Amino acid sequence: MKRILRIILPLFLFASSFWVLQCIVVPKYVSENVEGRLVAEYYDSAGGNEVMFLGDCEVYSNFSTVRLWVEYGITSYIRGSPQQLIWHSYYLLEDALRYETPKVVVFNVLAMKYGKPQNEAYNRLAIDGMRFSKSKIESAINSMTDEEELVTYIFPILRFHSRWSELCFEDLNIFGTQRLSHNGYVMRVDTKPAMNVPTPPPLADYSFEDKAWEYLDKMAELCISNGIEFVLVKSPSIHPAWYPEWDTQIKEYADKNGIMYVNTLEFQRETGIDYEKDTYDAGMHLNLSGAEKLSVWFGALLKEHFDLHDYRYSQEVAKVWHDKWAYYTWMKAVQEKILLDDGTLNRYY
Amino acid sequence: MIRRIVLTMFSLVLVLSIAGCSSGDSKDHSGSQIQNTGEAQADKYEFVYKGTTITMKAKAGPILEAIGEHNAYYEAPSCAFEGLDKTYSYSGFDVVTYTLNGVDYINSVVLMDDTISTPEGIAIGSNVEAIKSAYEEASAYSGPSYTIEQKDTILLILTDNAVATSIQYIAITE
Repeated sequence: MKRILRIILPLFLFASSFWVLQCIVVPKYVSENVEGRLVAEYYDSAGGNEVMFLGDCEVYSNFSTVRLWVEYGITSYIRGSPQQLIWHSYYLLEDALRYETPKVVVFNVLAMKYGKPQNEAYNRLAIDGMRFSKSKIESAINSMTDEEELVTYIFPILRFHSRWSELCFEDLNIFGTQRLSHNGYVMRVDTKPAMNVPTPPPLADYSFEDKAWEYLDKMAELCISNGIEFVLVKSPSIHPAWYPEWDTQIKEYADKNGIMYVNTLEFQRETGIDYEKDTYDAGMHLNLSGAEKLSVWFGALLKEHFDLHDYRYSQEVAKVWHDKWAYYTWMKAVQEKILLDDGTLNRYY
Repeated sequence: MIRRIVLTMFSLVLVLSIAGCSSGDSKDHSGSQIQNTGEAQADKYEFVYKGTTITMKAKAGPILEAIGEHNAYYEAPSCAFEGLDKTYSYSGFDVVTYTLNGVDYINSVVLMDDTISTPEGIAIGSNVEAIKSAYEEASAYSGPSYTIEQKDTILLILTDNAVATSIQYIAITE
């Protein structure tokens, strides 16, 4: 027995020390780049979501999951992160299917413009927060830029060990921080009107790259094989540009494959979005007011086309979502106070 | 005994994590989107306005000061990381900058109408023969787009019906 202990104990101590050190050195995304927390936050709310949104900042800033609940009793989650590439979204969907099977998956098509890995920093935001799985490994393999190494996605300490010199108090909190998102939605109540939006320069080639198409196909097939309705959406933003040539390609794809495609830019009057009031950064992302308008309109569309249950009358689910709604209203009040006191929204809560 | 094991293990982990890996030491954890040295190189074809050469990847401040007041300005934040992408609109062209380590650099110049031409005399509306005559590298192309790739700058000329419809100087940043 003692002999076994002599072998097991050091191994256990080694592994646990390694784990604690790794937890300390990886970025916590608390005081900066807070969106880095979004992917990991999903696991606390995994299960029971009938609608799953996938995409970049145009999704997590523009769709209010709580408004979808309040208006229609739709349970939803947004798996999004900054500049989330299409293969990031695919593997996040694959990952989510280990926990639940939504009825509808909504994918924002802006990511089609990228057909190659872009930047390690954004890869980190989309991949590091995933729990260890085959999907995480495959996401890393498909996302890595030339300088990156796969092992650093399995053991992030090998990437971030040099943060020792810049560790601060927040890094010692290895058991998580206060939630940033509301089922993936990141709230901003401030307003910056869209003015002087530059004319987008024409492109030499408007074709989406093969890898983007490949993953769009894969996402559609994954949805079909799991009995999920697949919806394509172009979220409202007036910068960066969504070229008509891109839109045509998506429309043709959707028609050919019998997939619903909604370009919300074509429904500005119906959504009621006013780019003088409903954006916090001059037209790139919607603020809370804009996200709520869009969600009320889009929720009605989802209810009309898909068999989504109204969970407001389910006591168990309603209790969970009541708590989410309370947190949402609390954060809204806090942000309004920050805005009033400081004149600018310099933190989320 | 146990204390010795704990100390040994902890030290081992520490050594492994600090010294045992070389993959990321020189990398920037802040995740700035565009990597460059900030040292702009002169290229053969660059845009010049009022005697000021607008070199791609050059520090924007002195250039913007030299070319004078803009007509309109737009700024768009990065999704998560550093700085703002800024667009300064002048009569006939736009200048776009990006931020790196708190400093703005020139990212692109886009000619917007036929009131402005390149130093080689090409403007929106110039025909393909004139383009090929002004830029020997363009002869290798059959159109409709002419991409002249230099060290730090891509000069992109798009044509429609053999006439230039867009002229862009774009920084090569990756």
